[in-house]
Amino acid sequence: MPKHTSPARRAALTGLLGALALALSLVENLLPPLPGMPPNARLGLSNLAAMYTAGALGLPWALGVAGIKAGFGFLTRGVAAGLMSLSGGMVSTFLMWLLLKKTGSGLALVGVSGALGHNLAQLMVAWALTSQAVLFYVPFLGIYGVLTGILTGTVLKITMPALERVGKYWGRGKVQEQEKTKGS
Amino acid sequence: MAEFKERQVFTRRELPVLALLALGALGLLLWLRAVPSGRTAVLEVEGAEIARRELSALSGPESLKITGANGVELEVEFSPEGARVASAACPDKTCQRTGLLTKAGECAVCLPGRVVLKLEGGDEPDAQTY
Repeated sequence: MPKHTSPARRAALTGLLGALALALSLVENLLPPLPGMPPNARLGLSNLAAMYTAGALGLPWALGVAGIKAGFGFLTRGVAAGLMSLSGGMVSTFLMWLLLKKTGSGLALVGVSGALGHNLAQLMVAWALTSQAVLFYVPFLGIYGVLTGILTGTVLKITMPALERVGKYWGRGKVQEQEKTKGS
Repeated sequence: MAEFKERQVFTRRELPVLALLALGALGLLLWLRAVPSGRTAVLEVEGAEIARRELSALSGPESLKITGANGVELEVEFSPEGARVASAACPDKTCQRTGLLTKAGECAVCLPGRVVLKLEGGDEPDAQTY
């Protein structure tokens, strides 16, 4: 990690991206459930924030974004919802970071692995809280994970310039300058 | 390796992986279409069965009020067509929004109340979980 960016700036950016994740999850909660899909299936747009953070700031900050979202879930919707959000967020963020930083994967594959990891972790928690019956949803979540993952990866690519503009002022500015001087 | 902000949506060598994932998803979808309709509705709270109804034996809708874990109150409705959670006293209402269950194995889950409403039946007994 470059030393030029202060932790305070990174923390501020993480807070902004956490707020973005919350806003996106609010928006996708307003959408009606898709017919034939489990009613709690989401587009996973709020994964965008974690995905960008994992790529731009690294794993600890990205887990922070997932943590902000889960904390909000705990406070507003109770323990069960908080646990679902926390497990899904942590697993998917870790997987996305792994693919972004350790392989040259494209954003669609990163999105798919994030979505599938999110679904799998939540399914495990739901299984632990209730019974094996929830495993019926494995095929739905698999299909949905692949489709929404490709979608979030594509949306991230489209929104990248806007996110980079925010990131430039809050925590990534010096990094880019450093990279530019290295390149020239 | 491409810098993060220049990363493409797909790379050429990932196409087979994504094609395999799409094929797998399609296969699952086809498999799901073959799931038989459910005959028996089973209601569980915290993993223990508390009610069971043979749907074909019902003459009309039957409503049942239960209290799950953490005092969450649910109203379950059994009918010859299927079973559903008619109302739920929790903010999420995920189980209620699941709607009418008709296929074997299908379930509506209330996580705060640890309640599972599921359908069993079809020809195979493998929907039995306990």
